[in-house]
Amino acid sequence: MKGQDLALDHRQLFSLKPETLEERITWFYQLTQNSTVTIKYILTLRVRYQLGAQEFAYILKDLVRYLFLNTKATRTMKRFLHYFKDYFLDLEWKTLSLKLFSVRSFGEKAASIVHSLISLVCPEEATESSPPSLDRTKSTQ
Amino acid sequence: MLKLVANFKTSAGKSQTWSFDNPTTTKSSTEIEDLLDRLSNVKLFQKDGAWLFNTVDGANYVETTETEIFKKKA
Repeated sequence: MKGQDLALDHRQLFSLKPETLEERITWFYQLTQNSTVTIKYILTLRVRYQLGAQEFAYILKDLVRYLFLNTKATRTMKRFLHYFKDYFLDLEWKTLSLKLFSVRSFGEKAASIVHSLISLVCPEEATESSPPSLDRTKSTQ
Repeated sequence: MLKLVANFKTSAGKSQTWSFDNPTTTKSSTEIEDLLDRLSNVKLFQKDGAWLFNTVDGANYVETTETEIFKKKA
C-alpha cells in the first residue's frame, strides 16, 4: 500500500473515532516511518481534544513518547514538542528538553541574534563578516 | 446544535470554511484563536497544491435549532 493511501485528511482526523484513528496513525507510522507527519496528525488530534472532544485526551501517548524518546527528532518534532508536555513526567521533560535543545543550538541562536543586532547598530561591521558579493568580485578583476 | 465555524484562507488565497461540532464553550477567544492558529501552523492538509488552512481569518459559534415540521407514522 502506498503512503498516499495511508494518509489521513482533515475530515477523517475530525470525524473518525479515537480507536480507528489510533489504529490508522500507528499503521501509518509503522509503514512509512514518517515521524514528522505522524506528530502532525497527533497534534491535530490534540486540537480536536482541546476544542471539546474529551475522548482524545492523551491520544497515542505511547507512540508520542516513543517518537520523542527513542528516535531522532526532526525540526518539526522539535517545533511542536511543547504541545506534548503533559505526555511526559517532569524529569523526562527536563531531560528531553536538554537533549533536543542543547547548549550548542542555544549558542548558535544567540550568536545569530547578536549578529543581527550588530547589523542594526553598525551595518558596516556586519557586512564585513559576510561573504563578498558578486559585484565586489567583479570590481577587483 | 452548537458548532464552531472558522474561516481560513488557503495558500492560493481562497476561502476555506471549517466547522467543529459540539465545541467547548469554556475557552477564551484567545485560546480558540491559538488552537486554530495551531491548525494552520501544522501545514498538513493540501488540495491542488495549496495549503487548506494557511491562515485563519476568524471564527464564530453557530447555534442551529431544529424544529420538526412533521413525521410520517411507520
